[in-house]
Amino acid sequence: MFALERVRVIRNYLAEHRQAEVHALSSLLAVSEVTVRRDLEKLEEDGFLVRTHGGAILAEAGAGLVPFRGEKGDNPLSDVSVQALADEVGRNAARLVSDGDTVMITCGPLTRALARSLSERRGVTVLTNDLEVARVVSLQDANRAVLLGGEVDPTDQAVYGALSLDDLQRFHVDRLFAELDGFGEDFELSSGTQEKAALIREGRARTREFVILCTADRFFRNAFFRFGVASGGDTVVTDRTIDDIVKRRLFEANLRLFISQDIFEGSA
Amino acid sequence: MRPILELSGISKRFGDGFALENIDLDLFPGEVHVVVGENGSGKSAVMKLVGGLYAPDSGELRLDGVPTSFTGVADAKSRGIMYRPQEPQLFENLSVAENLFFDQLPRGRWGGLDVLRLRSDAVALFAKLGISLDIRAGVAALGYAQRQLLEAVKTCVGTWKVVIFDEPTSAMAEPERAILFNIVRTLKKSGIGVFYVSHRLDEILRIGDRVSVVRQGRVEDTRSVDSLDRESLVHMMTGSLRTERYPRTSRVRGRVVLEVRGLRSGYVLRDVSFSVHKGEILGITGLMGSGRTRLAQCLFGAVESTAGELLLDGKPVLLKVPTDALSRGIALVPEDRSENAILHRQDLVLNVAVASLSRYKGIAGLNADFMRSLVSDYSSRLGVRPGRPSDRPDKYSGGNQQKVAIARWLARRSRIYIMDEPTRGIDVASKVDVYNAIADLVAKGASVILISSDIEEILGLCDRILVLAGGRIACDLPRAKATQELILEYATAE
Repeated sequence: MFALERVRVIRNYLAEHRQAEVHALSSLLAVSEVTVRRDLEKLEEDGFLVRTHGGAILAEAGAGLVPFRGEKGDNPLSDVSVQALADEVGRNAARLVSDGDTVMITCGPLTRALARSLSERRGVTVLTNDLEVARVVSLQDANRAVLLGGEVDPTDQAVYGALSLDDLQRFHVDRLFAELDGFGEDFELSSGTQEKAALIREGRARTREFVILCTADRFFRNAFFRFGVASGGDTVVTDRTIDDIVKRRLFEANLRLFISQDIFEGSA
Repeated sequence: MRPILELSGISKRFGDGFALENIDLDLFPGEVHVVVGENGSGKSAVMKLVGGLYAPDSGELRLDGVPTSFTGVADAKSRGIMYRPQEPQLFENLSVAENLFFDQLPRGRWGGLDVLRLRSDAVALFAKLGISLDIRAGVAALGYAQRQLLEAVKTCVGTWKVVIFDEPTSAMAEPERAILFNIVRTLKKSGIGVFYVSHRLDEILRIGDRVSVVRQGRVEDTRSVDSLDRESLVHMMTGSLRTERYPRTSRVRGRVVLEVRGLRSGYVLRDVSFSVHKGEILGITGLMGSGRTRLAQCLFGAVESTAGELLLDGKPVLLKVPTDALSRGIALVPEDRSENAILHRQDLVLNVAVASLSRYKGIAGLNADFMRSLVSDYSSRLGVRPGRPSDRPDKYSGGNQQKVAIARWLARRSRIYIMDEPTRGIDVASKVDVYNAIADLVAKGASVILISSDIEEILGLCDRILVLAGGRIACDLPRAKATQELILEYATAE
């Protein structure tokens, strides 16, 4: 890995975790601890971090200047958090996939994060309408991607329409992972486009297990196209900014709620 | 016959969102009315309403047919209602006899304490009940079960219309229970109405006249005990559970990390053996007094075991003090966080960081910035709200306090987490946070020993369930075979 890329990875890691240990970075980047220390030195000179014994912490001043994608300064910290939260949701949702499963994954930022996290699984078949999900999974050695047919939507980078719905009939999947745009107060599920709503509705009718992925700001809001109601036994995976009232309402309604805390750092 | 006490349509909302709704309950003279329900169902709250500890928001309480309200416990007592709380509340520095007659100490001519009469009254009462306690002994020297018994004997002093027992036998063995039942029968014979909160099936069948089930703040059913057998009673108590709402993922069970062989501790634990696997949630349940908490303490080195062996990764280890356990990666999130976990008058940073200080060690003492940022990160991930570093956790709600206690041990990065009643008495949202923290732990290879009396939680989260009864493991159930009926059956077996 090139120095520039390493520095970017370390920046993102620190922006997300606010602190990092040399040995953790060294195994993350697959380079020696000496190399990591050199990179940290450089970042300290930039005022991005403060080095500590065995690691580094994010400098308070640097926190606002973290570029997440693209060049320095074109994205505020809020974008970093959004991406970090999405990755946490993806990793958490991936725990619901076992080796050898066949799952359907619809399109969206959270489901793409889920697809990336499937690299630790083996023998998983993913049926999807999302081009990026299909690409990511197809590159994972031990997993397989099946892309539904249909017309490619230019904004979503996903396929929709009668063709996709027809294709869906031919497969049996264990679990549906669907990303929503709205989760209403009365637990009505909704999405921003009619095509997406139709696809999720159809997918849900064909699976036993339904896993809803949505960011915490989608709760108790409705998007335009409704496609059903969450009911007891359904699973919801969301990020850790979720409100206490939502936690309570979902638990009392017998929904299984996964909050992506990603808190435990592993046994020392 | 007219009931001495009636509750009709009583509701009461509590601060944490829990509520009693529309409670109807009555009690006849000379009747033993057993009240059953899970922990947190509200059965004790109902009893506290009757005992004058709480005032209802709405509804009516009638004593001898007259609508009544109590200004407090003393008021309720003065009108003939005696409430015996779950935890014995005795005066540590007084003798058995003095505690017994505290409310009406016999006075001499000049107003002084009539010690001789006090003693002779106490001796006479104990003789009548068949109790062999030294009346002059200090209460501090008594065991928990003896204290419970002494609390029960207090109901024989004074004249009452209604006596309420809240799980009076939780720590008692058979001889003490026999005495207690004798007391209850005596009360009954003299026309006193008895409310009796219990978990134990056999007790209900032995002394109960009627039984009411409380669930989620409501009285669900009231029946005559004569019409019930053991099986229908279990069915009535259990109802339906919603175990699918717990955030649990299926995992591949790892190798054995901890093995317990023939563990004993005084008379509390007798021959306990089991093993814990990597990435597993092992549930331990049982009634109060079954030895659950003692087991946690032994595994953590807080109480030394009297016999038995602990093997960590196949190698025998000796845990004499908690630091022995900690250094080997065993952490305990104790029961009763306010008492045992929260550092009072200290801020959030210290409360979370205190178990992992070595992580923040810099060249010149602690790296305060690192410590602060790590603590903020942990609190926000676990949903401690507001979670400002300068917050004082001793002023937090129970749920937030529990999350602080858990964050502390997560930051320590241990391998085996023992959690003793981690969700008892906390709000629902915090429960969900705690369950998710447990899910994160096991997904990342740690092991969790979850001690809980909430059967739904145990069934919803655990891979395997041990039922403790009388200091022994009554059964070791894999998830697929465990049911509420089975657990209850084993837990209450004599």
